[in-house]
Amino acid sequence: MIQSPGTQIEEPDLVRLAARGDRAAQQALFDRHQRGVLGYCLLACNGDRERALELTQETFLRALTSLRQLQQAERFRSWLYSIAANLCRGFGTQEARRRELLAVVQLSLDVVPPEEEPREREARIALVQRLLSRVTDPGVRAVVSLKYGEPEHTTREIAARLGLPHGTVTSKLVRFRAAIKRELLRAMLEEAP
Amino acid sequence: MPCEIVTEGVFRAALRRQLSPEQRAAVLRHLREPCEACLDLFEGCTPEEMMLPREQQLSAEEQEALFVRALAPTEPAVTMARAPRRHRWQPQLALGLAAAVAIVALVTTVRPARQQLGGGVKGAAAPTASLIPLAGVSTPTPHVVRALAPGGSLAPGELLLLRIRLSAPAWVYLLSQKQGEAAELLWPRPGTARHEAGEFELAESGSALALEPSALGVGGQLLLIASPKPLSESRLRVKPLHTFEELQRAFPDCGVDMLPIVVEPH
Repeated sequence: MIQSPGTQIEEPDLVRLAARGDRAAQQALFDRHQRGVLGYCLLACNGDRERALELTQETFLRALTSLRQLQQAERFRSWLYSIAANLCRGFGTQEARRRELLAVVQLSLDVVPPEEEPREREARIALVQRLLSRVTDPGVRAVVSLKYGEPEHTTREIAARLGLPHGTVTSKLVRFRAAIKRELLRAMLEEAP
Repeated sequence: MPCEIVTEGVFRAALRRQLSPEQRAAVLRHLREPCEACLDLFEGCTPEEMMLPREQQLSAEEQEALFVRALAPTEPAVTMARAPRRHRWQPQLALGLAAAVAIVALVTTVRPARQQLGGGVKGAAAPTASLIPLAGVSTPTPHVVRALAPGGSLAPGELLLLRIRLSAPAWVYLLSQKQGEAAELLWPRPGTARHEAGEFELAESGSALALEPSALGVGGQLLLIASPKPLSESRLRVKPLHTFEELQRAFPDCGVDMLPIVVEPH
């Protein structure tokens, strides 16, 4: 196995190293994201593992060969999944249920396409609203409304605005992410044959 | 207090798609309710774990193979096959283990057109073989730093490393050929064992084998031959081969590949 010593390095630094051709950094990025990308591709093409492997390979091939074009290293994850999403488009994504499932996946992974279309953004906000309707904790609702609102707020900004400790804000978001995962499980079960 | 419906076991079975229709219906009904105990359960797992349960994950070998394929374009010949091979001034590659040599040249790997012969490669067992060029550096041991796309260039100071992909077990031989001269065996040394199907990097004594274009010659071209049976040195001594088709004809039972190297002034 190729060594990947970059596990302790922050992702943006890894991205910058990988863009300069550092193989260990490329390997580390691959190691971090291969599972998620493969999982995404599997869901996108209805469990066809062979096809999902091809799509995963193509996703990383495109990402690693065009890393220099990525302007914000901090957005690598979202950028990577947008490549996967573009490649997967067409594999059953015309089905409303599959589209909804992939939207939940993206929300659960906290990835936002770098060039999100207004329609996609509206769908994401609607999904957040739907999830919030089943969240009982008012604190979570307040934090999430700011996090995914217009404009979107960082956790520091939310903490300042609501007068909450930063740790409280992050723990509320962790709770909301659990609600997203509940929705992910529901969508996966509904979509399964 | 854990949820009585979506227990840890039910959750894992759901991810593995192993719920009975009745269980699935019950879980789906419950997931529409605002159960806080379920959220406690879901906090403990990642979306990646949910999308790809442990038993569906890639093995270490599969991960490495996928990474290598993602690093190097899988079928560079397909892209290059559309363009006829251009005859250009092609100084010779000199082979050597990676001693650092300042190279004042850009080295471009160019694929020739690859076409099947009329009858194809003879024999059902004939392997297919590909040479995958990689750029490397020596620090001091040679190692890969990036893949070389078709037509890709080596920067000054970089070395050419090679990866070989085989579709079936084969004895593998790498030859270099100066323009107008017979090919000569570069690798491996005599007595090398057969290689299994898959991918491997050229190496000698545990160290990656690097090619450096420091000695100028004419007609640098690498030839790969993957044979289902061992070939003698005399069998490998062939007249100058100029095209991929000529190489196929010279080794009709083998998988072959050809990689011309263009050296341009920097």
